[in-house]
Parts: sequence; C-alpha cells; structure tokens
Amino acid sequence: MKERIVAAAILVFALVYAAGSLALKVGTLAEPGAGQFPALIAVALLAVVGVHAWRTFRAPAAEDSLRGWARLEPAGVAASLVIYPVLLRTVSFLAATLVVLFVLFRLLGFKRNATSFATALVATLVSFLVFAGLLGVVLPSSAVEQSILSVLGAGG
Amino acid sequence: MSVLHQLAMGFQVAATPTNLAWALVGALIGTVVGVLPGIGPLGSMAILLSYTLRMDATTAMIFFAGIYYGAMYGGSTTSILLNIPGEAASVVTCIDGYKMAKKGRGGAALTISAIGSFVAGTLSIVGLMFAASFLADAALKFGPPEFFAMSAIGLLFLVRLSGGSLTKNVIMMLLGLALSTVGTDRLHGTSRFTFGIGELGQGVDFLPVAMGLFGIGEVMLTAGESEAAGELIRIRMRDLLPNAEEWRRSVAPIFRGSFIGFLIGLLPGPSPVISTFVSYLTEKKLSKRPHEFGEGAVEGVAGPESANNAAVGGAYVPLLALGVPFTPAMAVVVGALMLHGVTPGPMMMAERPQLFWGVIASMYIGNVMLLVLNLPLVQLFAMITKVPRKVLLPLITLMCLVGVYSVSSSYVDLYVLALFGVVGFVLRGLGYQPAPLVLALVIGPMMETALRESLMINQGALAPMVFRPIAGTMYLAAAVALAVPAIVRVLRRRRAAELAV
Repeated sequence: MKERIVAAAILVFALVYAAGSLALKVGTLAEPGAGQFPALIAVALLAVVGVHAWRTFRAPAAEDSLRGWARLEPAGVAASLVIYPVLLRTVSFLAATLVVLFVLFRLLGFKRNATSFATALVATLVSFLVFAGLLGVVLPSSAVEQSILSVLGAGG
Repeated sequence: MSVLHQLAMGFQVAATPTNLAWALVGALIGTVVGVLPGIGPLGSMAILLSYTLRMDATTAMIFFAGIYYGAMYGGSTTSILLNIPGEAASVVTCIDGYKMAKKGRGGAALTISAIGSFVAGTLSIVGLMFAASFLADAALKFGPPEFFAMSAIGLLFLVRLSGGSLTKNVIMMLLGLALSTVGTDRLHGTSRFTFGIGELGQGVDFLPVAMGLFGIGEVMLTAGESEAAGELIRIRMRDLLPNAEEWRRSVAPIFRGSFIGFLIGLLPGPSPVISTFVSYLTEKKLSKRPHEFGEGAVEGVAGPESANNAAVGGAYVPLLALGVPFTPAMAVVVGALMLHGVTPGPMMMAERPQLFWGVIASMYIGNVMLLVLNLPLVQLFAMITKVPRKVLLPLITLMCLVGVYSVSSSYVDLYVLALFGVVGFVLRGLGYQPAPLVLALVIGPMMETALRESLMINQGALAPMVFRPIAGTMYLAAAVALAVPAIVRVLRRRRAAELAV
C-alpha cells in the first residue's frame, strides 16, 4: 500500500515537473533554453517512474498498513518541525525552542513533564549560549535574549 | 615547488593551534558519531555544516576530514565490543571482531583495528597526495564535455553501487537533478519552479535537504523503535596488546586492505562500505584458514578496518583534483567549500595551495591523534552507546533546526528541512536511498552548465561531445565497468543451468 502511494506521488510530481519544464523555453540543441535540461530530466523521470508505478500497481498489494506513518513519535517530530518556524517568527528563539524541545522530550521518552521541561530548559539555554553567545549567530530575540546577551557582553 | 615542499607548507598550515584544535574536535566528534548507531559521518557532517561558517575554509576542511576519519575509527569500537555497528562501514567488523571479543581477544581486535586504520589512513593520504596532483594536472585539459561525462558517469556509478533497488536509486537521482533546476537560470535569468517564492530564486539549498533526509529522517525513523541492547564487553589496558600470532596474521591483510580501500575509494558510491566487503571476501579467499572466518579470524578485522579508512583518502581524490564529489559525504564537503566561496577543482591546488596541502597534512596529524586517542579511551567511547535515545533524538533535531537557521536566517529553509525530514522518513522506510538525490542536487548545476556549454561549443552536435579522446575513453571505461558484472552474472547463470542439466 505504502509503495503504491509513494509511486503515485512521485508520478504526480513528475507530471507537474514535466508540465513546468515545457512551460519554460526549451530552445534547440545549438541554443539551449532555460527549460532544456529540466525537460530532459522530466522525460527520464516520467519514463522511469511510469515503469516503476506500473510494476508497483501490477504486483499484489503488500499487507503493510499505513500505521507506521501515523505513529505518534514521527508524526509528533514532523509537527514540531512545522510549528518551529511559526513560533520562531512570532515569539523568540528561547520560547520557541523551549516549547518544541519540551514536546520532543515528552514525546520521545521522558515520562514526566517536570523532567522533560527541565531537560528542555537546559538544552535551550545551552544552545542559545553556544549559538548566539559563542558563535555570534543572530537569532530572533525578545527582551529576555537581549538581556542575556548584554550580561554576556555579546551584544545588545 | 616539489611535493615535499608543498607538504611541508601544508604542515605549517595544519599545525596552527586553531587547526590542530579543530582537527582534534573533528576526530572526537567523528569517533563519537562512529560509535553511535544511526547518524553516521554523513549525517553528522551535514548537521555540522552550518557550524563551519565561522571558520575559515581550511579549518572547515580539516574539521570535516577529522570527522570522516574519526567515524571510521569509532565505528569499529561498538562492532567489536557490542556487536552493534556504529555505521555501515563497520558492519563486516562485527562478524569476526565480536567473536574475538567473546573469546577474550577484544582488546587485540581493537588494537589491530586501530593500527590497521592508522596504516591504511596514512598510506591512502600518500596515495591521495600523488593521485590528486596527477589528476589535477590532467584535469586542466578537461573541457565542458569531459566535465559532463565525469558527472554523469559519477552519478550512474553511485546509482549502481548504492545498494537496494536500482529503479528506486535512479528515481532518487532524477529527483535530485530536478531539484537542482529550481531557481534562477544562470544563463538566461529565467525563474524556474520558484512558484513566486523569492527565496527559492537562489535554488534549493543543499544544507536543509541533506539535514532533512539524513538527520531528521533518521530521527523520525528511529523515534519509537526499541533501543538495541547489547552486552558491552569490558577491556582492560593490558588486554589491548595482540600476541605475536595475531600481529603476524594481520600485516598482509592491513596492506591489502589499504590498497583495496584506496582503489575502491576512487570510485563513486558508498566506497568505505563496499571496500570492507571486498576486503573481507579477499582475505577469506586468500586465507589458509577460511573456516575460521566468522568464528573470530583476526584477518576479518584487520583487512576491512584498513580498507574503510583507506577508502576515505581515495574518496578525497576526485573531489580535490576534479571538483566532483563521488560520495554523499564528499558532497557535504563541497557544500562546505561553497559556503566559503571556494570552488573545488583542478585550479584549487594552484590557487589555494594552503587549503589543499593544509588539509592533506591535517589528515596525517588527525590519524596520529586518532590512534593516540582511541586505544586508551576505547571503553569511554563504547559507553557513549549507553546515552538513551530519548535524550539524543531531541538534541539532534535541535541541532538540525538551529544549524539550518544559523546559515541563512531563512524560515523557508526551515520548512524545506521539515519537508525533507518527512520525505526522508517515508522514502528511506521504503528502501529509497537518499544519497543519489543529495549528490545529484549538488552535481546538477555543474552538469547542466557543462552540457549547455558543450552543446553550444559544438553547435548542437552530440557526436563531438562523446567522441573526444578523454570523454570517449571515460564513457567506454564506464560502459565496460557497468556491463562486465552483468555479463559475468549471465554467464555464471548459464553455466549453472548447463551443469544442472
């Protein structure tokens, strides 16, 4: 089942990519346009994926369920990754990282909220000190980050 | 300037306190990631790519070389003491290494493995020095058709040698090439597949893709799995010394492994892994005691462990001499060089000799560091495997997130990381190898430029592209190399069928 879904998804991607490459100027062999290389890739991709999808759908469907994809842990990691940039943009580095790390620690093993929170807090602070303090990376900051950096004398 | 003079200059560069410190840090990190199952040298180099931004290019290269070598050293520790390979290139070492440890010869296996790695590493650097110089000189004669031939052949070999399904590997390679076309076309300035997202105008950055596929993909695949529990065999310092018989039996496999590893390292594909299998089979075939293989034969440790280290030196040759990465790990190294505005290739040796020879000299130093570090600290490194996953996985995720953001300060790159994390999780779970995609993404722009220039130079004629002496020889050699194994297989099958009749 999973094989079929993935084969179909790649086939759809190949079709969209092929359409996109043909919309660009393909040009001639002597004067290649911006779409020539993409068009070559699209043709090859369509051919290979087409054969692969045909074979996959002809073969008897495997017994695998979709449960592996919907397991809580990987789904939680994926959700955290999507939420992180949103939080980073709206709040600041420390708050965003603390929230995401807390969720990840809770999700991936620690049974207690207090342990997860404490570990997330330490990891967040250490990562901030290393990146912003030591390496001088500019991270989205609020007043809290600014005051930590002022104390460290690493910025204002 | 002679090679020795240039090497002396390299040692001056590598021996600065900063470079020595980063070589040590790289070697330590490499050993740790080699010990830890899962992440491996490629994933860790991808994760740490952003951290090299604050170093100069030479230091960054020295750091990565330390990681790559360190991982090869570290991988053997857990294979021998726990029967858990830290990374793919140490799988073969489990077979006889763990059996030796069970018989109380684990210390000897570790020492033979470390000495073999050291000898092989050093020999391969000598090989790298001369081969890269020679190839770089030859590469000055290369034009766009040769560069196109080399990149295309490199990708084909990678697809063939990556293991798993050939069709899936081809699909991954083509997806990588497709991704490499996203962004503004260099020749015409046309936007391609950017969907109006301004940040995609620069193209899909290699870093979030590699970190997503290897780092986040690994975290998601590992999350929720039960931890591998192995019995850690304790080693005392006095157990580390091999006996005379073990030394005698190891010398030839170490040299053979070094030779095999270096040669295989020159080829595209996961060379450290392949070299260990070839070395193991060679030793078994040449041994007077083949029945001991699988039961704790010291040759089964000495050969493969030497081979995987020598392959690392070999893998650097096409990168430093031609500017073409033939393995995914080397693609990360290219990424690091490009972040520093350095274009690897034949001109690098002439234009940036400090970088080229500094890296080579640092490899000698790194090998000595690893030898000195690994044996006394072996028990400590082995205990790292006891760090629980529930601590490790969130921290790896954090490093990927902050690492990607710190390079570009781009939210789009964070979404790309998330997307490729999920893609890596789904595709790797179904046996699609991410390496061809990553390598194609890096090589794609070079291939496209080379193809276009070749076509324009030859006014659209394809024959002159293929039949130029160097390019033609490359295609012919590749065709033979790819066809021979298939022909041999068919002949063997026929012979077996005839015998059956």
